[in-house]
Amino acid sequence: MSAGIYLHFPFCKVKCMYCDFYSIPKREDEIPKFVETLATEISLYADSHDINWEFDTIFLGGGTPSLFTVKGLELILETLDQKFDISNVKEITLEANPGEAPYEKLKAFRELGVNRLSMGFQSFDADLLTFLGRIHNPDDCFNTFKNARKAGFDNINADLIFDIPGQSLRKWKKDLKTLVDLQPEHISAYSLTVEENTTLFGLVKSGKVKMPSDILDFAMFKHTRDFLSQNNYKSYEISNYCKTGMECKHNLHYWNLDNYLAFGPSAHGFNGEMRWWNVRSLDEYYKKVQKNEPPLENFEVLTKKDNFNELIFNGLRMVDGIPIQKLAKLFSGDLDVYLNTKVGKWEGLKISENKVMFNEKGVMLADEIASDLFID
Amino acid sequence: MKNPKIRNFCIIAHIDHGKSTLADRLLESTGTLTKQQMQSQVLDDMDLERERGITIKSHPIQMEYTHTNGDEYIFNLIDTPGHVDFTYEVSRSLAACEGALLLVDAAQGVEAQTVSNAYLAIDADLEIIPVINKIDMPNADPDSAAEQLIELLGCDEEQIVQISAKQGINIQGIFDAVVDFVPPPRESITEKTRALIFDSTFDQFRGVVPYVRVFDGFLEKGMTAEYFAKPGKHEIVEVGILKLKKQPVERLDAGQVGYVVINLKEVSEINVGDTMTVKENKADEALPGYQPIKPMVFSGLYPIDSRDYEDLRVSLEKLKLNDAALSFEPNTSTALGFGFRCGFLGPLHMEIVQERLEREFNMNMITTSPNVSYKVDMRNGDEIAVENPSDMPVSGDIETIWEPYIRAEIITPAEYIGIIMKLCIARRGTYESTTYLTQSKVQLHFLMPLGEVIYEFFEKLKSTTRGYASFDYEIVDNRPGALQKLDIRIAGEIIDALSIIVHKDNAYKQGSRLCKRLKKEIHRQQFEIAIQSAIGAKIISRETVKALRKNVTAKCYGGDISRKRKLLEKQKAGKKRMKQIGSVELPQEAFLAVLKIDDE
Repeated sequence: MSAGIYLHFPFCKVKCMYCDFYSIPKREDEIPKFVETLATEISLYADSHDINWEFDTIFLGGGTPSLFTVKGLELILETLDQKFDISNVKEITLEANPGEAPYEKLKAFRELGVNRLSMGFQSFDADLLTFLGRIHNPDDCFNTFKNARKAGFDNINADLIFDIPGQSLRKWKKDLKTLVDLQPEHISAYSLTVEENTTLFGLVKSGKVKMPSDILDFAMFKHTRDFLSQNNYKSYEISNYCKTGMECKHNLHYWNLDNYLAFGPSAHGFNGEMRWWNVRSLDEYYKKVQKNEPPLENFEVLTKKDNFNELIFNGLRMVDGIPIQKLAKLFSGDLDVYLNTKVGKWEGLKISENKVMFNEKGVMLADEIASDLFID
Repeated sequence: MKNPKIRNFCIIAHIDHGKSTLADRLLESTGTLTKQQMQSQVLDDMDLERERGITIKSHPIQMEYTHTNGDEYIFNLIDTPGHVDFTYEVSRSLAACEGALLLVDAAQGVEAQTVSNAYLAIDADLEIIPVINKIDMPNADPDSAAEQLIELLGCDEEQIVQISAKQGINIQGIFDAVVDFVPPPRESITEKTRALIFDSTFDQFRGVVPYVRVFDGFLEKGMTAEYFAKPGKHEIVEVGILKLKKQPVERLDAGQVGYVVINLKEVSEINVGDTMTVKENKADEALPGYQPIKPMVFSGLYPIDSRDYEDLRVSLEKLKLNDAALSFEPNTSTALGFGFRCGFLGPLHMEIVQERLEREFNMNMITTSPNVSYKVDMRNGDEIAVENPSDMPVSGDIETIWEPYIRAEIITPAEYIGIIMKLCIARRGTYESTTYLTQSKVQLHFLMPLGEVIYEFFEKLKSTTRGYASFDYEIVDNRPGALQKLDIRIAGEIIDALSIIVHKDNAYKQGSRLCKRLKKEIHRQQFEIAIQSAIGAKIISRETVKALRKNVTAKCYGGDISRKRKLLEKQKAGKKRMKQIGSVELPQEAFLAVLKIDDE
């Protein structure tokens, strides 16, 4: 089974008001220290585990991993190369913020082997970018995109967000159109989610910010799916669209419940039986790694039931759904009867070619239906 | 045979006035139980009883006491169920005694149950010993409590025993009063055996064990027990007295209190209040005062998963072994499938049974909103009893609907009179009288339909009077009412389990409130859901639960999976308590929505 490696780079120039990833502003001077520690963590892990997975993807997420120095990234990739067999890696993705990834750096990253760039555009509307707490402007998006192409990136993802307070359907349509005109290989279009422990959460809870209506959210989502599909972007996952063959291989690992290693604070790993995650604090992370301890916060061993339920809600997020055979291994009882009852209940669910999957209606109610398919 | 040294008495009190503490203290002072034994005894009690501070089951206990003058006594302390729905059971326990300690909290004074218990004790011709408890408390006002007792009982101040059960203050005063004022049991008036069954318990190995007070003749092993209200004949395999444990004795003579083992498996074969006699010495006439148990409040219980029907039946049967007042019979609801229609003595009894089923038997069930039993005179001259609103005949066939009325007794600080008036009148109550117990404490009487009291009336009374008002009631009679059946349709279908009987004047208001409430309880689903209320074919209100259009997690990557799975599992668990009716999922709360419509 192929597998991935995730690396979490926690630094950001500023913290966006909606972001619930582990990221910390104003500590960029610690980047060299962090890179050293990350390399140590990788080595510690490799030395104490016998991992012979077939790695084919590496993902540098964050935070803002485009703030890596070239040297720093080189050290990390070299460490991975020394400690694991990454000779079959086909995809190395790095997340980059518009305006924070100059041409020279992109070129150097490309030369180090990074072959996929994921850019957090979020919006082309200056006001909405300000609302979201982004420090870039629309022009930064275009410039960074141009530079990336020039640096040799032929596999680029761009993130856009809809359902932003103050965003009209017309504005959203315009954003999408602008992005499609740029012709990235991959698009992630998300509905803005109010996550706990974010500034946005506080604002919404106190009534200072009102989220757009359900109808508007629905209309934007529907338009996204229709428009991108008309423009030859296939929706291979609920929020992810790509040109033929340009799926993000690393993210597919998550949804296929493949194995992945994880390094850096707050990073989550999975080996088919167990999920584990690192501490969500840079200082704790330093402390533990310096003491040669794994910087684990906690882990969870999955039961057969957990496996089934994870397969359900991850598998159904993908356009091809879940092979029934895969579910059968985790289900005791008559799976056909079970699935047929559910298909009878939900208009959004169908079975086709021995796979269970959503239709367009199902995609809209993904959580509702998935939870109903859970076993206990 | 003469039993000059026996004293049979009980303690009657309002909730929390210290009945169990006093009982514990008496047991301890007489050396019946050590402190340690008391602890374990307390632990054996049902959680529910301790939480609510009420006794559901009564336990008689025998104590040996040596008086200050050297005379030896046997005290039988007969506990009484301390709750308003069990008036009849209380009256039977009282009938087994000659005296009652009427216990009043020194800070609270006389409360509604104090009054109703006092009446019951007077009815039973008991010698009442007024006791003021908790005199050690900083907020104690024994003078005011005494004033209220004097007003209530017409007793002399010197008769009142002032104690603190908790601190053990003046327990001797209680013993003196019991010895001096509680009369010894009367002598047999006939040779024939007559014993009052005032309670029973269920023992896994010995079956139903009745507790009896022998009035005439005697009971002993080998005799055959017979009854007046029930046809059974059972061989007596053991008689005994109740101490910490059951203690077999040769025989139970007139005046004594004890238990009888008759190897009886079916609790329904004997009735509390019935008279036990024996074939060998058969009495011609029962002791007075027997009444068959009559459930006053009804509610449907349906398993959420129809496969649990059998489990629910077994659980109800087990509960009934210890609770003869519970009745149930199979019932089929078109909406909820197979279940049971259960009868209870009153609203509190109902709540307790439902909670025990959930807690002790782990039943996952839907309970429908409660209703009373209606007597219906039909146009064709028939007379029927309707215990389930969905069974109410069409209005064209009905001449008159009769509903049970109660006399509510409410004792409250005077400042709440206005609020209580409003509450009772809103529930179709008629004001009857006010009596001032002291300058600031009044006793109010209302005549009210029982059907209006079973919908969270206690809760409302408590919350609007900040817990100060106390309530008790007695059933009065049936009275005609302008009543109608209100149906609820969800997605076009009549949900029989949601039908209620309403007063004509309130039908429109109740219907529209109920729809609004249901809208709050029913979550959005993949289709739009119409909620309508109707009288007959006429729709009187409508609400709509809009279809759920979108519920989808935007981002789901490696770090989200664990958290997301748990979130969706929680969502799933929430829906487990729901009942699928046609294409609609109804939460359990929907079936109790009618209880909450006053909150609007």
